[in-house]
Amino acid sequence: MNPKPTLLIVDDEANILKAFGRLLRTEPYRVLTASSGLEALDILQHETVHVVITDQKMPWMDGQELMEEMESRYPHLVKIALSGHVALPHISGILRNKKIFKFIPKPWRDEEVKQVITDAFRQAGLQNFNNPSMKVA
Amino acid sequence: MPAPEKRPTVCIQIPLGSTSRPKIQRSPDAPKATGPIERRPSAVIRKLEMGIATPVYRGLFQSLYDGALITDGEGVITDLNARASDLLLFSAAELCGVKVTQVVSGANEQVLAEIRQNLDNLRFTSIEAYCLRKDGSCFPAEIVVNRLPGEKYPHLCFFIRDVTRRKNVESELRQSNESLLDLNRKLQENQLQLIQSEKMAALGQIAAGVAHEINNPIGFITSNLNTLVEYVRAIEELLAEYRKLSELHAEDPASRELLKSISEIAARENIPFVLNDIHSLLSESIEGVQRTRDIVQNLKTFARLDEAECKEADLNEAIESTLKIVWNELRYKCEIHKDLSPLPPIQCHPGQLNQVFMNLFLNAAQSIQNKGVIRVQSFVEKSNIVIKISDNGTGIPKENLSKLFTPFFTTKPVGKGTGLGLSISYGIIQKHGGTIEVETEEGKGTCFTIKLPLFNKQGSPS
Repeated sequence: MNPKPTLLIVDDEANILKAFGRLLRTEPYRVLTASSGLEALDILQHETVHVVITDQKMPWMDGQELMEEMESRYPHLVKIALSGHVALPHISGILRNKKIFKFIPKPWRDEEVKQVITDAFRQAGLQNFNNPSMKVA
Repeated sequence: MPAPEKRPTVCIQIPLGSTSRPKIQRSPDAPKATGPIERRPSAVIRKLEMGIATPVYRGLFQSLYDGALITDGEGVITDLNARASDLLLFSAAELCGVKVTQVVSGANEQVLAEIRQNLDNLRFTSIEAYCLRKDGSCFPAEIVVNRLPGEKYPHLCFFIRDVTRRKNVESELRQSNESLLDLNRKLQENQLQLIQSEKMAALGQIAAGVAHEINNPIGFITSNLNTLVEYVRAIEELLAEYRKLSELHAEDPASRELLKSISEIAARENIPFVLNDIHSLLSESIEGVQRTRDIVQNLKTFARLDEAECKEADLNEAIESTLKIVWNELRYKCEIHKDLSPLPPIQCHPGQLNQVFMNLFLNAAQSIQNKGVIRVQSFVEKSNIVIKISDNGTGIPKENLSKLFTPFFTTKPVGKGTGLGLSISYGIIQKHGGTIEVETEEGKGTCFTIKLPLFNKQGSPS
């Protein structure tokens, strides 16, 4: 049996995590939160996660590093970048990473975020379906 | 240095005509060198009288640094020193008997009369004039005129000093002063523009940093407020059901105490008002956050000026599409008069130019009180595309003109304008290598003129 669809949100700002928690409270998936890259990696070791949303600018381990780490350890995770950056070089730097599914800007539009996450789960589901190794996990 | 004598001097300035090349310039009233020089026999006699001076004084006279001409009372030269011959290229014999007015252009009869009159009261007087050489050339001279002391005849002595070098230096100075003044004017103009673009650049940098920091709180506040709206809706739904319940149990003795307490609380806290006000509270807060978000969005434009996509575009299309976007804002009070000539496509950031046009259209509409006309023109002039957006609105007061493109300067009420529209527009046009200018008259209207080069020098506006 597949575990319940699970989303992990990573941001060093607690209020952002809480706001996402409220926004997604009634969505048909489990929402986990982590306030740092290391905490996120720790959760990923113990929980089955399908979609990750991570902030970019965080102390100790920034979003890019976390993305790379997850890419090597959990290649089937669908990864979404979240950032308040406005300067295009930053954003295009983030987007140059082809393994990123979508980019969510801050401030975000609630409905858009919900849609992006739903799409991401669909993407994760397709991968699950095509890739038998995911079923083991 | 204090003057040793109290006697005043008078300096008669005689205009020297053009000062640029005094060596070859002939003053209009300069005598013609080629004409026959008039001689008077009486002068020769007087020269002989002068000749009785002692050899020492004669030597002193000859060795003077200045050229010296001695004339009789009528201005006829009776004697001169070697320096005067050197300066004028005439020999002593050639000059004796000649009227001084024929070699000193400024010293006409009227001036001579004036000099004489002055000399009645004063010891000497000085004039600036041109002296004429034998070869027809002339030179500027400073001439001190003196009445010879102790003379029974009213002889005058003209001490001539060649001031060609000084005049050249003066004229060079005048020229360089003029070009410096001109340069200074240009610098002042450039400085204003430079300050403006510096402000833009600085603001762009700050904007990127500030926007990033502000976006976090705006992000969760916006989201939380939306969630709160949902919560309130849920509670209201529940409350409505409770109200029905309380009505059902109005006569129930067991519930009487509780219902009384409920209505007491409702009265004390003015619950009908609170329930009503919650919605205003939320919508006002959401609107406030939305405004903050818009400001940050505008600030972002600065940070993005360098990077947004550059492509070939027809500005008439940009104008048309912008008009479609702002049409809702304009249609109730503005008539739009379009006069768009076909334009060649140019390399530009169409999105940014749209924003400029939008700002100008909205400003134009806001300056119109009741009903008015906005006129938009486009045409090619020399190597520029020119776009004029004008209105017949209130115009801009003179005192605001200098601040027009300054970030955060606004005359609109709080919340209606960020004061960034025109400064952003300025920055965008500048990035495109163009100019934006404004003409305005209070009560008559305003016209913004944008000029964009057909071919940007950098190849692309970046």
